[in-house]
Amino acid sequence: MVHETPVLSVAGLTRIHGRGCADCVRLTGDAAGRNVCPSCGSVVAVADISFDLWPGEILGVMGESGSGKSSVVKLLHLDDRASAGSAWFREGDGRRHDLVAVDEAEARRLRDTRFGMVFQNPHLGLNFGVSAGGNIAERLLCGGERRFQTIRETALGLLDRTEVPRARIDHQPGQFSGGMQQRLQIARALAPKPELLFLDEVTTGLDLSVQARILDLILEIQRELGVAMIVVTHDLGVVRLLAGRTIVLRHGRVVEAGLTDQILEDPQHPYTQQLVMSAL
Amino acid sequence: MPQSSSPIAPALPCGLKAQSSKPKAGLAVLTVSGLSKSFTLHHQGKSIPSAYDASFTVCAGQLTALVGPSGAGKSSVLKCVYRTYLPQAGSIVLHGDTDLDLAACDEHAALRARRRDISYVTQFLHCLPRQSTVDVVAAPLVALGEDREVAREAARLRLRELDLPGRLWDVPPATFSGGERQRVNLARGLVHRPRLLMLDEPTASLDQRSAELVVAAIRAAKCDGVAILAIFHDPALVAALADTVVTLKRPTEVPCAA
Repeated sequence: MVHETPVLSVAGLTRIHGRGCADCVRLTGDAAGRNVCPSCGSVVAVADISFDLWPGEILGVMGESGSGKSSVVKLLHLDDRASAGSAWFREGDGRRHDLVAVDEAEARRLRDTRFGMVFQNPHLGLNFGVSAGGNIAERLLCGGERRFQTIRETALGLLDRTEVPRARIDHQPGQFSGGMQQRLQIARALAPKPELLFLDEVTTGLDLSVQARILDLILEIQRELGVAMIVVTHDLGVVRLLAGRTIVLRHGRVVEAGLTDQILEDPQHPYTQQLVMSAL
Repeated sequence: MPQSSSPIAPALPCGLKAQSSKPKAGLAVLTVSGLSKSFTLHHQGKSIPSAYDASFTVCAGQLTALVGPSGAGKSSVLKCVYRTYLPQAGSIVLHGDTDLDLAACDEHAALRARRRDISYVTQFLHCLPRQSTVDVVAAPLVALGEDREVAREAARLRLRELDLPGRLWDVPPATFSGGERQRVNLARGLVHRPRLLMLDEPTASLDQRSAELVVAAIRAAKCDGVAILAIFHDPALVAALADTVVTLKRPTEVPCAA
């Protein structure tokens, strides 16, 4: 498998909350040790984020709370819009879109049919007012599928894949365990056969055996569907297991990027060294 | 050093294998020049030197052994070749249709080289929990896009060669003995026919029978044309298996690299 074209190329991605000024980026970040601009008071959530993602690849995004990990995912999933930079997404049919510049209609189409998102909190990723099957059906309907039989069969197939018992298809997610809610979220995210999957702290707070099952499932999805994924986590074990490459964020900047085992065994940046040493 | 002098195990009959696709013996597969590695610990304000100015070549069908005192950076050199460590100086060129400097290439190129060309076998077997032994061994082929059943068949062939009892193939290696585990490790390292195999004390703490099987597999890989870069704790193995011996010095004996 030789993939020569990235599915996503991010360059200089920046998000500033507030009116912003000419000095925002210069006066914040890792060197400055803060992400609030002292000149205008704006919050620089992320700045100058650059990386690429290849088809079928899993990229780890690591960093402490407040480092900008989730901001990056929100910008790429078009839940929030960037202040500057570019993020070129390449669809399976070869069409390219700059996610920083797409209009709202196109953003909705990409979110509904090309992207999948799994949150730490199932309440953000699932509709608790409808059944498990309904949660999957919603995504398929958004993608334009109207045939009841196809929707039902796809939903059952996804429940099988994510090991949610078929008998639970008509139950509401509120009646599910935490691990099963997470697996249903993955099933829902996978429904339109997305080309890019975002996983934001999906195993945080789950007990170990449930975590292992979710991680297995993610690897199986990568192997069998070849979906490119961005995995946000503060858990070094999760990136070690899932991600071939990892970027480390601090104060909204990428402070280190490399092969995951290199980041964990030979970290170069003082912050990464501290992070890795704290865990081992 | 002639391999026939080995007291460990008889040489495998190379001639019995189909050799049409094997790389030409003696052709350089890896050239390491002036490789130095030290660790900068920012919080302690310290620099810990490891390997210093290592230079050597590894050729197809031959084994290059790294020797030297503990702390000379033998394992660090292997990790630099695998790109787990980033070296301070030097080049690590993997020869092929186009040469690739693993010390400087981009991450995707390094990952591709890991998938296709380079296997790294330590004395520990790291694998996903709850995966059957056959699937653990087949994983490198599956990662290259091979059909799962074809990959499993190739894995079974390697496990048979390494004499791992068939009753163990379908269970995860978690409960295996050290010797069984190490054979699984080596089978996985060889299943996709890498061009370069790196071994870090592959026979450490193995019983004699397991060690003999591992040594036989190393010989067979040499016959197959695999270039091997190895660290052995046992000088007898170096004498028996190495075509070239490279001695690394402890970095305190050399000028400070900083």
